[in-house]
Amino acid sequence: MSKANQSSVSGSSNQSMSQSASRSRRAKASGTSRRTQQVIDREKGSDSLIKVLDPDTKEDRTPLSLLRTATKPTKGGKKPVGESTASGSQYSEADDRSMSRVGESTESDSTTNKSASQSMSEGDDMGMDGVLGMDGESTETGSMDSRQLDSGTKKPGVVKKAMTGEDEDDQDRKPEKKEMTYEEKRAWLAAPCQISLTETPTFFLLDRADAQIAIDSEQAGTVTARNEEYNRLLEMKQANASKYSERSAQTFNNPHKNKETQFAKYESTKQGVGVTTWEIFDTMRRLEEEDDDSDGGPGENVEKTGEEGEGEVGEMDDETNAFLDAMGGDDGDGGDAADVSKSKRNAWMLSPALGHALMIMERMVVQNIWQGEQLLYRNVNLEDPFKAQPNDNEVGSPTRKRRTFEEEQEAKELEEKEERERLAREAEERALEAQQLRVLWRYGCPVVKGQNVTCTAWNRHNEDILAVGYGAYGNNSSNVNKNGYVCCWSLKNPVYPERIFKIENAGVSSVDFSSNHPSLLAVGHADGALALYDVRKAGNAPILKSTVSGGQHTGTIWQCKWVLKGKDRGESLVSIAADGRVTDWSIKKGLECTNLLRLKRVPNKQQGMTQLKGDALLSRQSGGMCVDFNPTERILYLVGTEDGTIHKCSTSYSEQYLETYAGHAGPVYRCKWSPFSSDVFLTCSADWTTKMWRQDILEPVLTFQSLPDAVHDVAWSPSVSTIFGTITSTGRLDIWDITNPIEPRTWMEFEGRSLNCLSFAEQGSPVLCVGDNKGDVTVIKLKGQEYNAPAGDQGTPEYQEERLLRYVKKSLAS
Amino acid sequence: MADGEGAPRRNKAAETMATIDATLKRIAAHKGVLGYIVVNPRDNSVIKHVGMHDDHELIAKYAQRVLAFVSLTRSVVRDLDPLNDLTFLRLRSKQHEIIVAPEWDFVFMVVQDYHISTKEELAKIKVKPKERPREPQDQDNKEASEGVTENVEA
Repeated sequence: MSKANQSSVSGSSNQSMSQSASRSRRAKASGTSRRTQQVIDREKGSDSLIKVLDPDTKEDRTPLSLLRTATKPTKGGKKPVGESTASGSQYSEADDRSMSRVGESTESDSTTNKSASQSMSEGDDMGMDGVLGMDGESTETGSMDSRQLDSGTKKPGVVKKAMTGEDEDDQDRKPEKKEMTYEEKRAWLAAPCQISLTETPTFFLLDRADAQIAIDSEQAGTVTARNEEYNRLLEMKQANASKYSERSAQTFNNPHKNKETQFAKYESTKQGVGVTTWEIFDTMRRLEEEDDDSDGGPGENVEKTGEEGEGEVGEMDDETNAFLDAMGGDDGDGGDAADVSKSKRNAWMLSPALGHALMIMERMVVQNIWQGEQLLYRNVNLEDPFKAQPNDNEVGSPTRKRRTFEEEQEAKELEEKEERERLAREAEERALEAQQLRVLWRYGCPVVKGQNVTCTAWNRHNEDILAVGYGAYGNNSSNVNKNGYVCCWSLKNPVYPERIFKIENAGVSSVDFSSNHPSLLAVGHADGALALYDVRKAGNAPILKSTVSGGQHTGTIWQCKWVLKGKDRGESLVSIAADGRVTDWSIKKGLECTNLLRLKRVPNKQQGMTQLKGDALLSRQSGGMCVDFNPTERILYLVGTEDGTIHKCSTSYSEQYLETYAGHAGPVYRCKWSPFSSDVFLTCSADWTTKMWRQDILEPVLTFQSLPDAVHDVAWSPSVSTIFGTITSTGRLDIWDITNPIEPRTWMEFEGRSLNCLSFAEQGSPVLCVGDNKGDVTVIKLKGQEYNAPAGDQGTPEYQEERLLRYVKKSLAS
Repeated sequence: MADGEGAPRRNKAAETMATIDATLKRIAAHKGVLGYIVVNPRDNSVIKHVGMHDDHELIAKYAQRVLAFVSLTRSVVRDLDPLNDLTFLRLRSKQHEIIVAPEWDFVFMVVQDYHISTKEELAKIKVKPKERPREPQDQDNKEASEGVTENVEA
């Protein structure tokens, strides 16, 4: 047959050809016009790709040629598919095509198949109906293998019912292997073909699980409402089917297109910032201040909130410039650039913080050296862990190596020498330890070097501060330098005083710190003037000074003293001078004085004067050298005169003395009440002696003398009632104990100096300071427990007083 | 007049400058002090130095390192309490001690060898102390016996 010219696209085409051939044979054999539908049953996994089943009996009618395995022969007597072209529209063409298909190329075949399968696979009932209708009219489809060809396309969800049709050829199913004639083939081809389609496995394209919500959740209400709404909609839809129509749309997937761009790579660097608590704090404060400051411009704010030092330096500009001009002027004709650079370099020196920083720095530097002594001053006897032991480095173990005989000899000698030295040093140290007086340091500086120290006074409030007055005694024409100085020294810096006040043309002869106003310093001059200084300020000018018209003294003020007048009565300043007046100064309005007393000469029996008559007296007044107020009865005071008499006076009597104590042969330089007992006082004078008195006895109780030298000063120890010290003009310092009036307990001799003033420090530790005529004030510590304030019962003032009085009595008794 | 006001101010500034100069000299001349260095904390430049053997390398080393240490210390102090601030710094090592006064516009540091003993200084104070009393008992006897003969006489 011409139809045999089929190029086989798929293997089935051959089969189809042969199938069609066999069909036509069968159709011819049957000779009936009965259409038979062949059921093409595609079985899974069967070797034969298609099977032809009889629709009625379900017998297998697969043509033998199709089967690899033997099956039942198909019935013959089927009309060829091509003949029964009374099918529906879609199949008429198909039939035509299928008729021509046998001999044609597979394209038509495939198209037929495709169209058929497509029609079938559209899955609509119409197609099926059409097919069925066709079958009813004994249509046949030649697309028996269409299903098989399109099996790859996998049309989903298509459930094809097996098309049943007439099959009157059941009984003719006999395997007829004889070749069909053309007519048979045609008949077979035209015979209705039954195609049975079965369900494919289900492909799930969309799987949407139910969302379940708990009844008591918030959304339950809305969800239930929505559900009910939907149900209603469904019902409505079913009820009013006419209102709803279904439409479908197809969305287009836009084709994608790739587009490339290029951009420059971002350079990245890593940066880290560490933030500390204080940075945050500073930033916050700066922001707050910027908010607050609404007046000044941003520049000022920056200055204010920024470094204070800078701002303040900026304020001092005109001063700075003025001074820097002066400084820069030293360069001479240096260009402006040089001045500017120099001023910039020196700008740090004008910082206000510098002064304070330098002061502290100096103290620290001093402390590094003098710490041991400073601690001893405070009576803290601790082994300073920071002070390096210089001996550690010196004594090292010499490396032992073989030496020659000479070398060994030398080494031996060297060792012996070292040994001797070490012993000597240790002996020295022991001797030093054994001494009861130990020099701590010396207050002195080049400014006052060589000046005569006349007086010292401790500050009542801060006992580290010592005021020292410098001035020449008398009118030494050789001493050109007539200036006086007052220096305030601090324990913390023995190198340089904290304050230096310079007094022109007058030496200082007496100083005293006030108790009520601790920064007030009274200075008595050698020319009789009295000045008051405030040591808080550094200037040279006193805050108050007595004037000649104001009644100042006409002679050297030998002693000035602040006296507490008792509670709520304030303090008064009392001075005694060579003009014989004891005056009381008040500072309420300037410096006003009131004469407490005028010292009248009293015949000194010691000097053999029985009466005043007969001698040409220079003056009826005698100069007063010292004054001391009774610690308990403030109205009583002692006055020592140049004549050697001591007077006990009262502030209520300005004309007469209460008592007169005669005993000294020379001017009484100092008289001092005992700090423990208000009955006992000491006096020292130029007659080489120190005498102790009791106020009710007109004769001295005890006399102390060590050397034939004028005793310039005497001072009680503030911690032990029986100890006192004296200094002489030949540089000797004696520490006496009342219990032994013959010999001082200990002494110290200063070479080549005359000692002028002595005072005990009233702090816890027994330290005393001695001023000499070379401008130095030496601070000496009294070592030894006996000088410390005794503890316990013995330390009470009452006990001390009692002890003192006991000794006095004992001395009297003897 | 304008100058009349300017003169005392200039004098006061000059006085302050004089005292500062004197203090600086004293510090530099103190026992054990190797020298001092003044550094600008903002640009780490050495403003001035005195002493330190005039070794500029050493001075630059000191300046740089001490400055870093100062800012570290200040950070520690202020971290603990931002209202606090560093006022002074003393760094003591085996050989010497560095004392630093850090301020806003300068950092002033002094290097001192603290191993100096005060013996030399004290030896300058020429005093002859009393020798150790040989027999303390004698004194007591003396007191007992001579108390009788004690007489008040000029």
